[in-house]
Amino acid sequence: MSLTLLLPKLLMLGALDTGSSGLDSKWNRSTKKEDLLLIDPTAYLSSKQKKLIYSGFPAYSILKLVVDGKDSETVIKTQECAIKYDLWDEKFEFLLGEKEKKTSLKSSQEYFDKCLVIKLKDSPQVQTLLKSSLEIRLDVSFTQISGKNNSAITSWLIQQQSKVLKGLFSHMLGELKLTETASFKVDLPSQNQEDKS
Amino acid sequence: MKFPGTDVIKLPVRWSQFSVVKAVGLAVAILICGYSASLFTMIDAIRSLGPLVYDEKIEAALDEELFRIKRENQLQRELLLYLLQEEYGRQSKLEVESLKQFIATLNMPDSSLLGIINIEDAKTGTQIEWESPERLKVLNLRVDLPLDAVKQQFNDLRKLKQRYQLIKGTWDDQIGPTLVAVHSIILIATFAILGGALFILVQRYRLRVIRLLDGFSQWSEKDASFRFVEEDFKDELKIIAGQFNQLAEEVEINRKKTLYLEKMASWQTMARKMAHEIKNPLTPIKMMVSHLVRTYKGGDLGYQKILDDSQEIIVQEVNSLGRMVDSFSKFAQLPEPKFEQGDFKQLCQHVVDLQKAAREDRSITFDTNIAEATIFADLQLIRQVIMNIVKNAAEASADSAIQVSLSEASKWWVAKIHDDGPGIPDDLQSRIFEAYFTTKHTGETHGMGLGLAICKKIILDHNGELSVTSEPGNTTFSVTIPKVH
Repeated sequence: MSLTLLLPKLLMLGALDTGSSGLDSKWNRSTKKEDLLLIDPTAYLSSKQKKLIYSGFPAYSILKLVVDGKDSETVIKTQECAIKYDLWDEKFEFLLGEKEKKTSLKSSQEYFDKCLVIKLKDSPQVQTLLKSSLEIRLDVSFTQISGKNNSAITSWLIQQQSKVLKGLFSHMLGELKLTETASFKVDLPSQNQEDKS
Repeated sequence: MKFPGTDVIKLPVRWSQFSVVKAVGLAVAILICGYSASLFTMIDAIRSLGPLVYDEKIEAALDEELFRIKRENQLQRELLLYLLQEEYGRQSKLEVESLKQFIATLNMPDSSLLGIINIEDAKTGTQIEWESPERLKVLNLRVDLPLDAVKQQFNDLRKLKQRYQLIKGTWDDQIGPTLVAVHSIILIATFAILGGALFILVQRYRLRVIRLLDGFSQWSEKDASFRFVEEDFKDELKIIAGQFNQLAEEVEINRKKTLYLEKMASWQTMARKMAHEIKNPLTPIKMMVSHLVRTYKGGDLGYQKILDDSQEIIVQEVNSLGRMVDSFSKFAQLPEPKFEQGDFKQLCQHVVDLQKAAREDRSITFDTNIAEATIFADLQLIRQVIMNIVKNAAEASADSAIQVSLSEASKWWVAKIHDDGPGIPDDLQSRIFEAYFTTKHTGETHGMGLGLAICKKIILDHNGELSVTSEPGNTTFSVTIPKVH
């Protein structure tokens, strides 16, 4: 069944409004590769956020893993992607693909894995983090990137105004952008939890 | 009560004392309330429009349509593949023309959606399959099916859906507030400009009113000759300034007239007293002189001659004094005018005719284009005035020409008596209407300097005006009498 048909159902399932939620993290232990602590927010994304991802607009996503200290916050990891979902071919394309060998992704899951899942390598710093009682937060942000399509829609909107208002309206409107943000409290696993790949 | 020498107290003119300011303030308040109400209504309308801008059913319908296009395209591909396999599945090689004809004869729904087809020789291969979404392998041939029309249809719909999504997603946070802000700015700017312009106009008006009030104060307290320059004002204030100037002129004329009449009254009182005081001893003086001469018994011819000469001189002087007393009496007892309707033109003509008859060697003319000049006056006295002035003109110079003219000016008849005599010196022109002032010492009343004073009083009693302008060779007396309405 086409993903497009599934989209409304996907949007309904697991739809959560923006706001703080407990986000489970888990270890992905491997005998061949490094152990990774996975923090995956995809199941907790709201319908609006998913709509933005699948809208066909170029979108910029940024994930930040933040440690809430007493007086300040520390960002321990950021992950950025600029992608576009092709509604015709139903696949994701990287827009900033200089370092990527392939610009097209085979599936949505590949996009989630590359862009939305935080992977922390097992290290003394991570262990210290697990042992500490510090609160960790994952801030997720999706912002639509300006493009020809955007500009065309904005121009269309401006043209609907009267001649008197057109100039001022155009100047004050700025760029129309869809932006969705979310913030999740991350529940770190105990040291006994593991998931072998 | 104001004491002489004190400064004029200027009362501050406040903005709230102007009815124009109150009217403008009320109008602005109404406009602001009206526009504010419309602004809030617009905000409500924009807010209520938000849900109308986006309808989930429409978005769902667009999604369904997008899916339908793709689904149909997928079915077309599968159908095409099936038909090609049915036709050429058992062959190993195919000619380009044959394939072209086959594709053209296919009765596929919306076959135009396939786009421009390109067939080339692939040289090898025996499969019939889709190599890519837009390339079909048919045995030894490769067919490019770009599906332009389908993709275009899909993209058009996609853009429509994206427009829908973008406007919905930004309506509450960006578009709606921007619309409100833009309209607010325009309203505020409009009111700022309008308010500024109104303020300037009202301030100018207020300053003109203050200038008007200052002028009134100056006229009443300091300078009775003050007049407004009407061009400095506009509209109703210009009318007020003009009316004030007229009023001030009338007040000045009345003031001068009152002053003159008071003077005349004083002169008349003095003349009456003098006449009474001087007249009484004159007769006894004459009688005693006659008695003195009669009672001289003679004997001394020289003394008799002295007596006779003295009597003659004394009687002459007494008679002269008597004439003076008579003129004083006449001046003191000027009769009250008896008003009747008459023709001023006829009166002037009559005077000119009399003077021409009396002075045949002089040029005395009467000029007018008025048919009839009706006045309500004591015709005898007016005739006396015109006669007096014409006689003065004739006596001013032995050979000057005299022109009498009659014209009209608004509510007045104006008779002008012009001569080209030597004129009246500038320093004396303001005094010639004073009692007892004369430059001539011949004749009866003229010698007393009462003639023009009497003429002036007569004309003033008729609510008219007697004036003179003079320079050597050009002297004009103007007699102004009101018309009868």
